[in-house]
Amino acid sequence: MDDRTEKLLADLLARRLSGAPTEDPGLPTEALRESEALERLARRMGQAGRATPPAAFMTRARGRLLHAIEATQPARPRPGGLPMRPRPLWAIPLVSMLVVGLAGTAGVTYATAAALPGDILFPAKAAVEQVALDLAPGPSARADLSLAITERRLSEGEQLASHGRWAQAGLALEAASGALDRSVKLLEGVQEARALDLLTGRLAGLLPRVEGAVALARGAPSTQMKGAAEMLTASGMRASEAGKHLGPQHKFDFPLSNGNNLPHPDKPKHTTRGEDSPTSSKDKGHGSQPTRTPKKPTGAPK
Amino acid sequence: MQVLDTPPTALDDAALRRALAGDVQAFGDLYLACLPVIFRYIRFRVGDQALAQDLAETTFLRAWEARRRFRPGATPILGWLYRIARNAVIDHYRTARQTVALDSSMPAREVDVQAKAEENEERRRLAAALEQLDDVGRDVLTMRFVMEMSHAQVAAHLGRSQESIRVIQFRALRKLRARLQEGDGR
Repeated sequence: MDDRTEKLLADLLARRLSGAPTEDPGLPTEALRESEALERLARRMGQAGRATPPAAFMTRARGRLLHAIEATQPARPRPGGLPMRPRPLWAIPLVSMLVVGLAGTAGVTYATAAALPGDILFPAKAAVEQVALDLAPGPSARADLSLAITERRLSEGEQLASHGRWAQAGLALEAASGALDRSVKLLEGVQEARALDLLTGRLAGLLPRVEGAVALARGAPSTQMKGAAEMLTASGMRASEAGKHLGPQHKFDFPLSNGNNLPHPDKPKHTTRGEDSPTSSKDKGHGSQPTRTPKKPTGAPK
Repeated sequence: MQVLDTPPTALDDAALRRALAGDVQAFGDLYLACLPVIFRYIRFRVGDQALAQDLAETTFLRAWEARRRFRPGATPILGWLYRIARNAVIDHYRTARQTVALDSSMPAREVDVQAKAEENEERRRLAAALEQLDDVGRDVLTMRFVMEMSHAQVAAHLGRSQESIRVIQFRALRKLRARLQEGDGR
């Protein structure tokens, strides 16, 4: 294609995409056909990229960012204003009650949807999720929703950890562990082959993220996070084992399941010696026994 | 496609200067003004709604930390934020070792499971093919079609003429189409 033709086609495409009127540039039909195909491709990209931040996120985005910024810097006078004072503890429930009382149903719905584990409104959010699960129209929709909730808990844990809110992050990851276990159980009830294929593929895609969250939790300076790491590891192992049966066509890699990196979740006090785990000495006796009974991983240290 | 030439955001110059000088409240306003465009880019790259929200927040926190390095005359603000967002996405994939992120929005009905999977697959294919293009081609297509910036805005952000942007756009779309066809042929 010579420079002149390329420039004419580039201008034609730009005009079409901008909705401007176009004239016949007198180019060969083949070149015009290609230009049309490129226009369709550009529109596909626009369609695929179309997204707006959820209203609940937008509502509190500014406040959250400013809170995070203020948390990262020492208190200092704001331009044109008085210095920020630390919020007294009694103010938190009081403000929440006022919010609930004054905001009305829509406001509370937004606040609830954006609540994070450890927030006062988080139990309400969990209850809404439970209702959505109960009302899901079938096993595959229920499993899909449960996987989505698992992803959400992982995101919340990562987000809280990035702000150094370790205790809340630990709660989020413990909840992610429970959600992952529930997802596997629900997946076992899916009968329709196509849906099972899609959902097991999604579960397989989730495991590297679980692994990342375990690594994050293990490296955190928090006993709660280390406990959450154990629970999440056990859940990841169970999901990996179940996934291999439910969707053998997918790759269910969960490297932690070889047992070389973590103490056995059932025997944290007796398996730390001689292991590679960088947290083994700190983990000793933190007492965060998982409430469930995880299966023994293949190749676990004796 | 009129929407492609809609300005993504109108920023008050004085407010921008205050935000970059360290005024937290003005930075909050900047955040809200630029968030939809940056969110669209991140969401396109990672697919997952909740993750996109986290990375958008990370982007602006990093921007806050790096605000003293921003030079108003050299780069428009959206182009600068785009670079930070792009690095945040790359860092995320590097640390989480994820290859595919899936949309965590809740399906309303059983049939939505498949529709959502197909939509995700289309987005993932386009994003992956886009990443294989050269830097300028990838940036032009991302700014034009994902961030919905006009030719004039892209030209200003990349320091090129509009004519040059139109030609780059044409060439990059041809390459993208070829990449996608190669992928289909495998």
